[in-house]
Amino acid sequence: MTRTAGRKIQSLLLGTAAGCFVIGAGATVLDVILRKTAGVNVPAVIEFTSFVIGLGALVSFPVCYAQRSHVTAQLLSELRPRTFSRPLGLFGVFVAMIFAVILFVVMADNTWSKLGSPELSRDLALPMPVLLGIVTVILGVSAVAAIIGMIAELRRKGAGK
Amino acid sequence: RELRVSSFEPPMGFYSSKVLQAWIDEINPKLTGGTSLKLYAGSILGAAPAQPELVKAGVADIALIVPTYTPGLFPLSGVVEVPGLVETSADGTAILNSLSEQGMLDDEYRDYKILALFSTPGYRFLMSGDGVSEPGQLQGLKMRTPSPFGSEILSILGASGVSIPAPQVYENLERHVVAGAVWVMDAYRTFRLDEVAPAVTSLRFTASPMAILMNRAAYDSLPQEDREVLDETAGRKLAEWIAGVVDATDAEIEAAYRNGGKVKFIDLDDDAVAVWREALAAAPEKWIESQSDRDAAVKALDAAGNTRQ
Amino acid sequence: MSGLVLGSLGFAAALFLIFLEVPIAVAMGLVGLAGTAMIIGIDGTVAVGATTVWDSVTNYTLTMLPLFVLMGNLAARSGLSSQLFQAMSVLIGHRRGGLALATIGASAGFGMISGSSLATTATMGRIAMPEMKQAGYSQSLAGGSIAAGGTLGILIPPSTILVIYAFIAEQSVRTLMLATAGPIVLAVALYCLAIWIPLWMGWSSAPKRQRASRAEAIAALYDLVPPVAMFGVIMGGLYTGFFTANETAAVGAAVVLAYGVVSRRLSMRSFLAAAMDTAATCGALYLVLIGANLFNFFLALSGLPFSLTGMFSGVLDQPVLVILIMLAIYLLMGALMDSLAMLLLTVPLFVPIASAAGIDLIWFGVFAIMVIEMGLITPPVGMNLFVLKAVNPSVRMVELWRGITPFVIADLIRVAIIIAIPAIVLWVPYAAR
Ligand code: NA
Ligand code: NA
Repeated sequence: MTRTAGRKIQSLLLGTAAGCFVIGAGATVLDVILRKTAGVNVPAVIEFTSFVIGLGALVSFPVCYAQRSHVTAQLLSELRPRTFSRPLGLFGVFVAMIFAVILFVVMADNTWSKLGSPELSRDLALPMPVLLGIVTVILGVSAVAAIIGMIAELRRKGAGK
Repeated sequence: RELRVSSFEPPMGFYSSKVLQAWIDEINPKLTGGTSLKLYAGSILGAAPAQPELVKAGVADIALIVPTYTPGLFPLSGVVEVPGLVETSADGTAILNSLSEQGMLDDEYRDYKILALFSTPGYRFLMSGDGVSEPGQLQGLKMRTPSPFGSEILSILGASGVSIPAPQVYENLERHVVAGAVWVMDAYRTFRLDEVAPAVTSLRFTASPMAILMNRAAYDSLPQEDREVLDETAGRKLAEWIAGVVDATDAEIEAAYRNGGKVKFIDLDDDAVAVWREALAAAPEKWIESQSDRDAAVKALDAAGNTRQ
Repeated sequence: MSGLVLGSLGFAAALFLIFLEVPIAVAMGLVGLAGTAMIIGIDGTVAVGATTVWDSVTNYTLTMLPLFVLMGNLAARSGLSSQLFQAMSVLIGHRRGGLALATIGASAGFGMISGSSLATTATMGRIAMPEMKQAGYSQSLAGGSIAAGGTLGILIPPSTILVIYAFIAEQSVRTLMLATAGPIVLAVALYCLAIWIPLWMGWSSAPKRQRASRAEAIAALYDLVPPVAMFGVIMGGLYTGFFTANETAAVGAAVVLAYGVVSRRLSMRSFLAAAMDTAATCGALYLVLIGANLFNFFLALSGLPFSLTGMFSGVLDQPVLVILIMLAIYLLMGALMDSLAMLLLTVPLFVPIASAAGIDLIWFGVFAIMVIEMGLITPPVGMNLFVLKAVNPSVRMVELWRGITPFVIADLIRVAIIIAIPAIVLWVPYAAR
């Protein structure tokens, strides 16, 4: 994949996430306004807000893995950047990749076992296998992004030498 | 082997302390040396809606579940929600065990070993302000609903159901997001709802099913003696004991708040109750409509009605 | 291997991985999954992993997190944060550490609308950090005051932690909220000292400014009007019952957005940038939450938290000793764990002990919230420090650790004071009855 394509995909994901947050906030604000003015409420607004904002957080995962923007406690590499920065950076990205793949496999296995289950979400009555399928696909994209992040880190190391 | 018993309720919560822990304390001495039960309360092993999955996967060996938290998984257990069937836990427990013994619940619990099927006591209207004594007063109000079918019941009465997680009901009542809650008296004690919803209508018109389920493989892996000990207490016997504790506590809480004087009790005479029954007459039909297998639903509803008589 | 040994080894393994700069989320998550698999096998672990991911990303209370981050970003992109801080700088910047004091005040303000310390820290980290950096404050002082100020987010109502305590311990939310009044005043006062004393001793630096002219001061006061008015709308709405604590996040973001649009300070471009920044931050934050939940699940399963409470049986007749032991346990756990997880694991175990020792459960709730909030700023695993680092990647962790030390000491003094004088907690709620 070319770099521009990668950047476009990242922008698309972040844009989707941003849209989700705005829609979630909008639904809640609409609910507050309707409640006070018309005495009605947006049906299932709590579940809708939870799902749409959760979706926003999920689609940000691949970007986090690809850009390696994880929350990390950097101690050694700040004390001795020349010695530690590269090996630890590589190690961290490698372990993150393993985690991303495991999380995807776990979610995929669980979703697979639930295909055909009649379970519905509580308020919106959406089929759970479909919802879990969406989470699985995004975690799959995250795993791919983590592999891309690993490759990017390796290249950075090569370029540095 | 130590069996993990999971409860989504905090350790001091009613079902954790007075039901599960009490049962564990009674049964542990009877089990062989290698087996014991240990309570993991407070959702340590997972959130309330995840409990059926966790016990099925063996994360918990035994778990307390609320079938209506996972719509679609335990459809017929929801029959105790139908208005007019359940006033006490004993009522709901009799219905569920009768259905189970007739094999009607075999399908929805096929992945589990059932230890007990029971119900909450009847839910009442816990209201802010002056409270309600007749159905018309609910018109246009927003209420905290116990379940999707709870919302159906509310819409029949002209109100609308809002789904709010239990710990946040207090704040939502305080802020008038909802005018009241459809819940058990115990919510006064556990969630301090007496501070924000101090008017209770003594009509008990719906209830939630509950179950204690066991992982099948965990049960099969126990020594013969231990399985016998479990079988001895499990089933209708355990359920009826639980229903006794539940109803006694419900009565005790009601008496305490009646004496306390801070809560306004709206007691209904027979005529007033008849008005509510009339208003809720369409509910059973709605419940059948909401089911994917309507024939089974009709049979379950009939069976439940017969148990009641 | 016994669960206890496994739990301790898991603790050590997670710490070691974090030390090797593996992302926090990954270190906790991997150890959590591996440890869980060793205790309950692969099938169970798959179920735990899947339900943890699902529960974390669909948790309603957590929806506040992205929305408060969005609110902070919108405020920053509208130039509100710099306006606020410039005004503050004009008004109190000539005093020693004026901007750090303003940060504590502003954090307390955000704490009044945010139920979460992490959201408070993320918001203030974006607003105050660049301002103090530009003003020439040392990184340690800037970072320390933001991270410490962030802990006010869960002490000052609304607070998710407080509501959860009320739920588990079956105490009144209203009484608990009133009980935090005294400790909040104490906290702000002690944090001021935590800023001043290192400055007096020369351990941190905050350039002094010339006192502004009268005209400048009046202009600065005028500049404070929009943010104060917006804050008033949000606060007023919350306290008059217009909306719930969870809803303040959405309303707050909408109010700041509306201000930006109406005042023409927020272009479409900067709106999109604020939203995209929010997404980038929140991806990392939610991953940390998932990792922490997996890790805490494993710890609970190992029985390690249970065994910590075994030591109380002989000392129930000495309540102060009970409190001191609990304090020690909290500090130990707080060094390594997430606040909510700590609360969920310990309160169910500690409340019956406290109750048996005759300790007032309202007092105990405030104590627990205070000590748990300390865990957010104590190294090595202090979530506020990580959040601050996530929104300001150029800040050095070592500087943050150095800068937070005076505030940790201030917190310890505050805890000592409420143990010595419980009335600071209990006077307001009991007077209000
Ligand atoms: Na707060
Ligand atoms: Na800490």
